Amino acid sequence: MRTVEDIEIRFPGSLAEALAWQADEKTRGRPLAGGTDLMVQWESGVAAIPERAVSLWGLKELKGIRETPRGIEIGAMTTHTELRSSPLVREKLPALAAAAATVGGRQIQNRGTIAGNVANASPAGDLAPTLLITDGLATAASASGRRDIPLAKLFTGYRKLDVRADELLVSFTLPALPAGAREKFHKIGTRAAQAISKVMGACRVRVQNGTIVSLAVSLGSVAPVPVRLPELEQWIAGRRVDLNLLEEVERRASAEVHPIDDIRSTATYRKWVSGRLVRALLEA
Amino acid sequence: MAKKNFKVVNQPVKKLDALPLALGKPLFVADFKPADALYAKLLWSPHAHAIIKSIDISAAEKMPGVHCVLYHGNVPRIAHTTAGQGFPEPSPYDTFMFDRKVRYVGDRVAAVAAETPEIAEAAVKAIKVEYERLEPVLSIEAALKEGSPVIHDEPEARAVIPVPYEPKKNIAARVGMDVGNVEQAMAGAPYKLDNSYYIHMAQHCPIEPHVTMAHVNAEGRLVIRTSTQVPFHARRIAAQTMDIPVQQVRVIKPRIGGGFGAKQEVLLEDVVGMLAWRSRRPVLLMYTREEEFVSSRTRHPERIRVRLAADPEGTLTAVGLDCISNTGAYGAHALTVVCNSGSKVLPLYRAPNVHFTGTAVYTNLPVGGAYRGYGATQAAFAVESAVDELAEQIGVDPLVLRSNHHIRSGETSPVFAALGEGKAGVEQAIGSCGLDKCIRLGAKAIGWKKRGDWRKKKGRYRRGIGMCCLMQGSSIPEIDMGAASLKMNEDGSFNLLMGATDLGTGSDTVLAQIAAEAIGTTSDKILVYSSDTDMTPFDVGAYASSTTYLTGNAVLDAGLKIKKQILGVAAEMMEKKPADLEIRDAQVFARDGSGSVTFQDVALHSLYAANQFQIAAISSHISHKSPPPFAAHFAEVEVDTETGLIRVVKYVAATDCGTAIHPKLAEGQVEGAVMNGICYALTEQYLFNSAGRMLNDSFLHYKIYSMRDKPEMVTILVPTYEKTGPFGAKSVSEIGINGPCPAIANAIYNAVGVRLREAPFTPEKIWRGLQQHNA
Amino acid sequence: MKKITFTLNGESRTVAVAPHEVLLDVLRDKLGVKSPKVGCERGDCGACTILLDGKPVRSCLILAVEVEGQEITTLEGVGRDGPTPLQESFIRHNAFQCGFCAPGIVLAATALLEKNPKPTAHEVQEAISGNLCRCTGYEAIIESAVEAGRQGTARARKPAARKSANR
Repeated sequence: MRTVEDIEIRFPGSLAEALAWQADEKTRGRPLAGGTDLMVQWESGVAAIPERAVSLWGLKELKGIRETPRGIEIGAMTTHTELRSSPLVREKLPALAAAAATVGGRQIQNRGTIAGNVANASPAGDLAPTLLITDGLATAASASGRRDIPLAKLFTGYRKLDVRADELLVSFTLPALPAGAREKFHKIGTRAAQAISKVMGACRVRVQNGTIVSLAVSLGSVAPVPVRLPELEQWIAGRRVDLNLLEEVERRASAEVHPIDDIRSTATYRKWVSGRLVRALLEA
Repeated sequence: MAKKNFKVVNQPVKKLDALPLALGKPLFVADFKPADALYAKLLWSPHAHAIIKSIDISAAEKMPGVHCVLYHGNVPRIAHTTAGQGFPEPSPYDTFMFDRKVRYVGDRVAAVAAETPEIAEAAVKAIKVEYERLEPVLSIEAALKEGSPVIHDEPEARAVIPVPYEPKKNIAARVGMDVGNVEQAMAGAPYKLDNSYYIHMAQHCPIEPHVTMAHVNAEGRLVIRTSTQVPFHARRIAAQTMDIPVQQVRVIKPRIGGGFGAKQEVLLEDVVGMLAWRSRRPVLLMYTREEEFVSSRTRHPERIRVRLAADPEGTLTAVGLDCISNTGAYGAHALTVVCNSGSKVLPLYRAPNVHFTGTAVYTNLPVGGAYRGYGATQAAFAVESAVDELAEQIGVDPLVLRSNHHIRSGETSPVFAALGEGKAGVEQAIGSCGLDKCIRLGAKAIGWKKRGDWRKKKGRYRRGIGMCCLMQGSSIPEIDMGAASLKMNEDGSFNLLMGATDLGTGSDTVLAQIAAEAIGTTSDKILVYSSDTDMTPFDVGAYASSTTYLTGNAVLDAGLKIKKQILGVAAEMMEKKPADLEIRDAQVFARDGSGSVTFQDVALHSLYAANQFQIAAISSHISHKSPPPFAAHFAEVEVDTETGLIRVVKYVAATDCGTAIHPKLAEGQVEGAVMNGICYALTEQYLFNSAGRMLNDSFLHYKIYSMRDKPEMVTILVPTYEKTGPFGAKSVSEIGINGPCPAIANAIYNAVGVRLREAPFTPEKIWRGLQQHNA
Repeated sequence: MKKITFTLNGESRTVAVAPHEVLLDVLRDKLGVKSPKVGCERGDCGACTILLDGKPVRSCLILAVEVEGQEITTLEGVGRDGPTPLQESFIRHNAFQCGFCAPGIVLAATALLEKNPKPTAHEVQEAISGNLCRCTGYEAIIESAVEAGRQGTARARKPAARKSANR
């Protein structure tokens, strides 16, 4: 078994260099961002310790937040602190800004990155639901080019992503909140800071004259991957928001998720709370 | 009692270590690691219950950089207890440095000392062990079942004082008492209850885990620098376990990063001492956080039956308490913790019929130990919940029921005489008692009057208010001893040497205040050196809420002796009689105004001028009483009926600790204890798999509160004057942790009508309770 | 082993490290900087907090090789010329009991006051929530930071003097 002392950490001078390394099995390394998840997993033995890691933290090409015609483009190495304090993100992706502010404490927010959080692919990852509701894209790059991956297809299984070994996540492009719509992020846990939550969720909803035009809702910690609730979203379009609707939403949301028991909570409770959470997200 | 005119005592002087702590100076054990120190690592049992069939350390021993490997085959086999208690200990001798049998996941199997942590880790992995697995015993119920596997079948296991000990039945301790007849009182009573409660395992979570460093000095003696609450017990028990004379061991306690009882355990000193003794190199061992959770000590979980009865007027006629504690794999503090469940809770309310049994059982789970509150936390949850339940039955305000029955100044309880620590207790009458005022002020601060019936509450978020009353003790009477020595320096400063152990509480500061007040100087003139078995007098250590009360009295006495000597020298200098002199502000004045000398003058005279001698004194103190501090706690909670989440909105703790020697530090003790109690009540818990392995051994999954979780806290100190305490002081450190479980349970009931008799109060339990309501 | 050079409390330092060594261990064992404490080694407790380019981070989750060329401040570099006004405030309030968490908390508060010189209690609670303390109920810690801000002690930290000597 490999131990942590055998690891080799490489620091590419540019994205191109990193991609060249990743292209070849002999030079390829585990991508390392801020290390806030990975270091813990290596130290505690949860994740296998790789022979090599490639530190992406210092790559300027992977930094920055800017507005593009396709949406807000966020570099892979953008930290939670940068997300929560960016005026652009706060205005156009308020749920993401809110979620970033709940990750760990300040020290973690200063090191943890958007790509690290996504690539960790934990079902309890804080950011994923807020990304999923935007119908945005993740962009992966390799030595042979770039590829856009719809976020809806990015999470393929428990701790698995649709990203090839020779690819690196380089950015996320997230359509801004449309006029007349609102977003909300909410997580249910027993401790405010550094909480691994029982259930978390985000929604983006457009309501016109009391009628729901469109809804995107996503939950974390209820399945091996963060999920959208397509049946509920389809059913609700065109309906009026009233008490009956909210009760029906709660029932349907609860029915649409299939959580499991784990050390933090039971499936029954999670199912119940999922319904309540979705209802709370819709309540203005 | 009238307020005394104190100059130093009862004042918020600067904490002695405030400056170096704020500057981050090296003060803690690991900060002193010499460059040539070896790193120790332990091999832990992966099984809850197993016999070690074979163990092969040869590969580990041969690894370059490995200096010593210890296991049961190459160390003395000496039965002892890790509980850092007075001698002979009330805890059974059921532990060995290493044994052929392992009794929980995380039990010690072997130890390695090597040049680097990586080599030590690799060497631990290279030790080959073959286990024969035995059926594990993972609950109180399983332990007591007929034919259950015996956890301690080794012939050496024994009690060293005359108390019941039945390891063949997995019983580590038994204790009990009866006054009157509870059964009979229950039979005819119009109001009565007979309920069962369960309170859970928890860890102290000092931010500095257990850490010990040892080296053999030039004279061939073993010097152990360790994060301990009990340096003198550590010296005794380490020497005993290593089978070397006590005089060969010196234990030094630097600053320690929190203890809360966990470090009343002699946990690492023996093995680190042995590694250093064998390798003749300095050795450092620091627990990881995971090891601190699993292989340190925990709060004993207890299953508690409470019986209460009241007559038609609502007067309490019977209190019955049967506590079964789970001591885990070893019996550290097994007897005394469960005994304190009775002795620190039952005297609080007057009742003619009192019944108590305490039983501690062995299981194959992490080991119980001393934890702030020490049994009172567990029983207070059960009894104070039951008192609320009885009040509802009677139809009386639970505050009134408590006010009508609680013990008062001048009264006694048969429980004091019946329950001691491993022997009969000590009869005592209550001296100071400010509980009435605690209740009154606390009720006002929380807004008790606005508290309504849960049945009338509506809406998603419902608020409720609950309360409880508490008592603890101050030291263990007729058992514990603390000593202090004082000497005067030529500039009028004083060295105060004590075995008392400041574990972050500020006891060095508090004791310096007592010395300064007694002598007539300021606390900055007192140079405190505490806890070094070569240099300071004996002290049992920091436990049982004793330091201020017990060691404080020794310091007070030493201070008064010094004062007398100073007056004697000054009298010689001023050609007066001592009786004609008085001390104010570090000077000696003639009462007739004819002159004065400073402390510096006195010191110089005593050391250099005439009839020279060292102004110095040493005093010891044992206590004949254990005067209880009292408290009334009030919690306001908000329950989210949709998710079961609870938010503590406001918490009021009103405490009578006699004279607060340092009011700010006393408040800090209450606040810290309350905060710990709140997260214990709501989020902290051990989760095990079916094989007895802990699943949440990190701060990510074992949730202690951060600053953001802090509710509004109101801390009220109610001054009283305890005549037997130094300047009227009683203890304050432990009592505060006992309140949150019952106060919050009662508040939850008041909010939503769900009575939780099993802690912790997770959202899911509340949600299930609410579901049952709706069904 | 790889040689790395970075600025530690205003001085340039060069040290040989193995790639797997975490910054916390290198600071404590190789550079003799003892204020960052080992509390959990997995990023949960905050006792190992340091400032990396002025921002509080957990030194137990950062590999030493990652800090090449960067600027690190530990508590040793903050109160070097005597306690800062913020530290004075912590001392005045007797804010720490055992004080094992103190270095992390003082640094997190220092970083907060540099960005936000007059924080509210809520802002303090939010900014220092990554630092666990088991002794206090946090009351005096929050008070100390708020009061230091209120008293307008704007500069929580004196700029460290830069020296270039390698050691």
